[in-house]
Amino acid sequence: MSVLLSLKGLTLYYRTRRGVVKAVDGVSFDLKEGSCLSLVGESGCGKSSMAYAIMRLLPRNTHTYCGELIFDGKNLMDLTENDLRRDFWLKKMAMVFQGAMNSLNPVLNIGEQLAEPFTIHLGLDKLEALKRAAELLELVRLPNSLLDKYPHELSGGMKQRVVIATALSLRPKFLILDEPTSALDVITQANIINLLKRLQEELNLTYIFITHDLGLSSELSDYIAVMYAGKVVELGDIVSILTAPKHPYTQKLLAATPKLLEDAKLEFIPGSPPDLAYPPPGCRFHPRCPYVMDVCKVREPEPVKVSSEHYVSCLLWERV
Amino acid sequence: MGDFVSSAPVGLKSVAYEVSHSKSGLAGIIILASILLISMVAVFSPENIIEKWNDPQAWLDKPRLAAPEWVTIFTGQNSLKTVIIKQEDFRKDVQKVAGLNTTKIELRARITYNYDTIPTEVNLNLEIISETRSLLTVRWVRPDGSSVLLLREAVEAGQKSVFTYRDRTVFENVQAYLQKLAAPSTLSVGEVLFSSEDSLLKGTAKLLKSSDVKPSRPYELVVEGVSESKFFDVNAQLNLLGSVYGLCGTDNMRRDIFVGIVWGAPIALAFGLVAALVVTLVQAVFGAISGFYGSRVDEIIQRVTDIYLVLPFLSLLITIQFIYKTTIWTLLIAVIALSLFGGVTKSVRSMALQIREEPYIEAAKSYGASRPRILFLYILPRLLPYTFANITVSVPAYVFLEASLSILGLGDPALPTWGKIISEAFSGGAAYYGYWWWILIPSIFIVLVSTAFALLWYSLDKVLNPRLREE
Ligand SMILES: Nc1ncnc2c1ncn2[C@@H]1O[C@H](COP(=O)(O)OP(=O)(O)OP(=O)(O)O)[C@@H](O)[C@H]1O
Ligand SMILES: [Mg+2]
Repeated sequence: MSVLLSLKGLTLYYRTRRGVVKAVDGVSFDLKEGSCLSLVGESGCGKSSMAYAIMRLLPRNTHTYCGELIFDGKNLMDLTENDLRRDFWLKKMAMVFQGAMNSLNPVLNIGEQLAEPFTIHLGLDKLEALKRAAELLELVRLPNSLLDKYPHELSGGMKQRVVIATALSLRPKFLILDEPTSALDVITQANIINLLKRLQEELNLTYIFITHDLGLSSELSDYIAVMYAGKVVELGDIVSILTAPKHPYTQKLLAATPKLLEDAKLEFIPGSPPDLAYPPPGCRFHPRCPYVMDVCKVREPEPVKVSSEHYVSCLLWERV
Repeated sequence: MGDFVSSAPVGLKSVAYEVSHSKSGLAGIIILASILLISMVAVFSPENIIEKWNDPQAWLDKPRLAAPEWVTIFTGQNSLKTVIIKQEDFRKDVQKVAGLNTTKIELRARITYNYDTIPTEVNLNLEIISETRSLLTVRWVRPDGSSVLLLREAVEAGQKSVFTYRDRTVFENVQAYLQKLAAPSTLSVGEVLFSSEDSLLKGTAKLLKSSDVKPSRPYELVVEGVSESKFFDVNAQLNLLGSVYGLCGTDNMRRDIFVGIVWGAPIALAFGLVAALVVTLVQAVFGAISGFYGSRVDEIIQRVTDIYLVLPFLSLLITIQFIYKTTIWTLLIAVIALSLFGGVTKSVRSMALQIREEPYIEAAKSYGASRPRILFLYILPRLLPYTFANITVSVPAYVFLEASLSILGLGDPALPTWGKIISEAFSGGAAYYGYWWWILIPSIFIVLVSTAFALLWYSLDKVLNPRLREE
């Protein structure tokens, strides 16, 4: 399988009143076509920012945006926003934003909403666009009767499906899903995950699936990337990560995941994630790491290959 | 302010439904609909009232400064409303005097007069068709049979209006009549015409009604013309004008104020609505652009708005009107031009700043929606409720503005507007002499329009402002 997306030192800093927030700080990895990568990590560690950085959908207060971002053989960094709008967004890559509840225009009904991409990109007339909108509803298994409903008349799960449908309107092959199932009940979550699985098979999609639920990510993913304070600290195939996590943070994260039918006491990670405006020097996890060494406080770890598809950024493993 | 940014759908249909189902909204709609209906009469009327309004000759058959007819309900008097005896209602007698080649025409009008007041004016319009001068005699016959000679003179052919109360010849003839009766000569023409001879002798004019004689008999006006012309014809129209007229009374130029109200309605509505609509929408669009685009554009729009906000709006408008004496529509353009930026720009900008950060805007961007598309399809619709509420509050303000300028004498020079009627009432001394209807009726209509929009706004506010929603 060929590589669809390749990041090298992708960086996104925000300008804020408190200083420069290093939300994504030199992230590198490759993503194979047709696979699914889960991006996990605590809240505020920069997962959504990473999604924006990959999409090149930058907020107004972007301070630094650099690195190499090769998608489908093209370096997106070299393109203008117009190129992206014309040839990439929705056509090749799309994103489902965090909080689908708010991703729908409250003043458009579902039909008009789903018709938008066809009107914007294909210049279809209203009737034709609505016909395509109806097909989209079918794709995500929603009844046609929703076409003239407004977003506030839909349940959370329905809205999420509509948002996914919109993202798939022009059949991109790459989809970033930013916490598509948080704020949904478990049954609905399972339904959405099943839908995503089916769509991946039908449309041969490549996913980046952002979540903070490791259990959920194992349902869908081939790979897991663990983010901490703007950096990917461990990346590997799902089996290695879930069965043999190498980074102390990943280990703690797994231990903090509730498991059914197991009476084990949940662990938590002492301390709190660092302020991304002023991250600690050296390894960013060192203030909370149980295995911290002196060197951790001054040297930043580099990714180390522990098996064929498993990398970890930790000085413990660099020494071995 | 932020409360107006509702996330519920702002379908106009649902808003209209809720407004029309609230009491105040319904009241506002009913008032507005009535005024609109009145406007329709004016807009679709084939008559050229505008020209007529400014032509003093066109109103001669109306009484001057008459109160509305319905005041008789309160005074309890059977006051004379206008009585017009038209040409075809005169009885015409044509006699050829054999051999002498003369024609004698007698016109006779009968007026059953049972009102409690004497007419304020008795006017006779004559049309004489003749080759030569003709001898004209006009006599007034009371129900009791006594008669007064009003006119006997040789007249040229053509139109002749006799305002009997003000006509010099009539006055002299009446004086001669009083002398013959040996009655005091201080009585006015009107009193002489409508009193019995007995009361004239006593020096007290007592109105003689048709029903005072048994059996009841009318007053009669007899016009007699004699001419030697080969063709000869006399036509007459008699107007008895009272002290009350129509629904709204008349002004000092005998103009029916009701006509002014009806023709002023579409002007007031059009001026208020167009000004409010255009000003609010333009300001809202600038505000949305300012908030959404941000940076340089925002800076420029905000500074221009600051300048507009400190412009002395009314003074500038008065200066413009004073120098150019423009029509109301030019005035409207001036008003709009002076309000392209303003308070709405500021408040809409702050709302747009809030809305542009919402995830669905970001999502639209990722769908490839262009900035103008996002502005017009994603941001502006959210601002519509606020914009509509603002339009409804500002309509009365603009109706008042037009009226104020008119009262200052700076309104449209030709059109009958409500403000102009009030302005003329002031210069006509209506407040001093107590011609209350002249001031009160147009004022009531201005207040009515304001009230209607205020009621609408009140109910709109309740619908659109979530905090006021009574669940
Ligand atoms: N537009 C922005 N301007 C400034 N700081 C931002 C901006 N967006 C995010 N941040 C900051 O960047 C950091 C990373 O935010 P991000 O939203 O990427 O986290 P996340 O991992 O997606 O969190 P969550 O799981 O809660 O969604 C946070 O500290 C956040 O406060
Ligand atoms: Mg996030």
